[in-house]
Amino acid sequence: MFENFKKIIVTLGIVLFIALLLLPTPEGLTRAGQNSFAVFILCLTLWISSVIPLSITSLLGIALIPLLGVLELEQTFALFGNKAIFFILGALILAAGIYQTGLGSRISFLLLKNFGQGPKRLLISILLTSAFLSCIMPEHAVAALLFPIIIEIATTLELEPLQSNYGKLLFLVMAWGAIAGGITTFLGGARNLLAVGLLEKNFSGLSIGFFEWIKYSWPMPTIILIVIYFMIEHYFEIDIDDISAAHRKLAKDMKKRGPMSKIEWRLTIVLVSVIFSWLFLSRWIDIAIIAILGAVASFVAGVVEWQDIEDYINWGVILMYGGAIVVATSLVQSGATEWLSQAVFSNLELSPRVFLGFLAIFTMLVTEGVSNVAAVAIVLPLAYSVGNIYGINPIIITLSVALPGGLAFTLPMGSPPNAIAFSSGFYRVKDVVKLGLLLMFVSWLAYLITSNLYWPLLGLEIMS
Amino acid sequence: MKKVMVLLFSFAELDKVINHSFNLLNDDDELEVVAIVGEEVSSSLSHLITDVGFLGDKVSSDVEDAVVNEYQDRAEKSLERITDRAEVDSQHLEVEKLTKISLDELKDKLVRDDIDHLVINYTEDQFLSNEVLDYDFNEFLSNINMPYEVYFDGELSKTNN
Repeated sequence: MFENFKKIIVTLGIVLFIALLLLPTPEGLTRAGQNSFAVFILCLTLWISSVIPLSITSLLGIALIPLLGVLELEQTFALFGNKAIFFILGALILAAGIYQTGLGSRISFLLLKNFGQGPKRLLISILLTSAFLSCIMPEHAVAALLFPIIIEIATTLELEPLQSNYGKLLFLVMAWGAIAGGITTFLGGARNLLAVGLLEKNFSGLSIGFFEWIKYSWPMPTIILIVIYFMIEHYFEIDIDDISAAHRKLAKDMKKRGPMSKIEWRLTIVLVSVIFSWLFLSRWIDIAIIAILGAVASFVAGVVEWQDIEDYINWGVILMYGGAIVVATSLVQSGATEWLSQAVFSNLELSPRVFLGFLAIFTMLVTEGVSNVAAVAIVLPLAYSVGNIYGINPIIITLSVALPGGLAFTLPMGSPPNAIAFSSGFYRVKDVVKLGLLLMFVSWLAYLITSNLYWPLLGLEIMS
Repeated sequence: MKKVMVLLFSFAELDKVINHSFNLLNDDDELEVVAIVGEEVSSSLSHLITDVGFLGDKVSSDVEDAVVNEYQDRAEKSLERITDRAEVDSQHLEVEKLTKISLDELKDKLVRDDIDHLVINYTEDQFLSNEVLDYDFNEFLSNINMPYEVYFDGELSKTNN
């Protein structure tokens, strides 16, 4: 069924692409603007359908934009050299170190062993460990790192797939923690930085720093985690009383690891220095420079070697993010979004708050079906165009797409943590649809509370 | 003497399937259990980890190894349970564990071994059923005369009894 759906989407994309290239331009829209729509629609359908890798779609976009005269060649390639790309590069090298040295697993074991005494406490520990780690490394990597540990816990407790509700919850809270935690910093999901990259490219002089992002984002994951905590405490059926076997197993595994190795200590020093610098020195040293220096330091300290980096990172990520920035920015720079906002959206009679509410829920729905990055790359340029009409602060628009854009709680295809949790075989998709929708609603409420009550306290007003 | 064959593609919620299979047997009857255990996971999972999550092949293979080990472990435990039950019930039992084999081979085996009754437990796990355990028996079942029951993860879905 999905294969047919993909074929329809791609066919539609190709037809619209050709039609837009051949049709005469409407009044007010330049040929470059119309061609940029054509490229955007083609890339959008390819990103949604994933018939070719996401990064190759981005590469196609980079090639088509100068080819079709949307932007000059030099201008196009200059957009690719965005500082967001270099931040992602540095942050991923550091994340590879956390994964590869075993420091991430050690932190997980330590937190789970010490805080997860009863069945409910263990679930809450997994939730918080997953959320915490997703603040310092990509949420996908956190899920991959925790998965073998959770599998081991489930096996030790002799939990039966599909029968044990506790088994199902172990994997779900792992994924939910990673997803909620992943929106908190730039490190949890590089889409956050993609959004900031688009903001910087499209609105000269505007940006969101590392510390500022956390300042704006933290209430949303906090509210979501509190709600999940209450669900664990009061709502979920916990069909196991004794998890002491899991504790013994965790303690044994921890003992087997021995004390922290020299490499883990060196990585810890590098990480603490980098995070300190991101938080407190970013006014003087750009966060991308800090990330790159951190990556270099991890090499110099012997924490990682190039082969490790190749094993733990898919460098297609650079093409994906670079391409997404190029395609989305070309819409704005060619005047396409301005034309769209005047021609299509100027007659909308929505209040800015209602529009932002719709924008958040729309992005959440999109991100359930396509990757988080693609969701941000698809929705944000269009949101900027509508935001222009209302005079909405572009920083608010950026946050209103990027934060909900990371919150795919239901379907495996929306987010790798969901896919990894699902692969345990402890539940089926139909078992989590209701819970996923409930969390989507909770996330939306968390967004409304944060945007309407908290951001104004920081001086972040809806209208620019 | 009657021969009942159980094809296990899923090891989740097996109780109903095992109970039903043993209930079909009389004293001299024989039960043959074939467990199909994949040695790989669906490419969808690695696509989601590497192409969507942009993590490297090592991360993807770590997750895949954990999944495959878990499934093989479940298969072992399930077969042990069935063997124990056969011992208690003094039933003649043959157990075979197969990695992915061709559907035609499996159909040939069903015909060749003179099976009198067939019980299948499929999985609803899309990651496994669509690619790794791609066994569609629908056409085969419609052309055979033997009684059969088809379960999905322990839930009865189809029978010709």
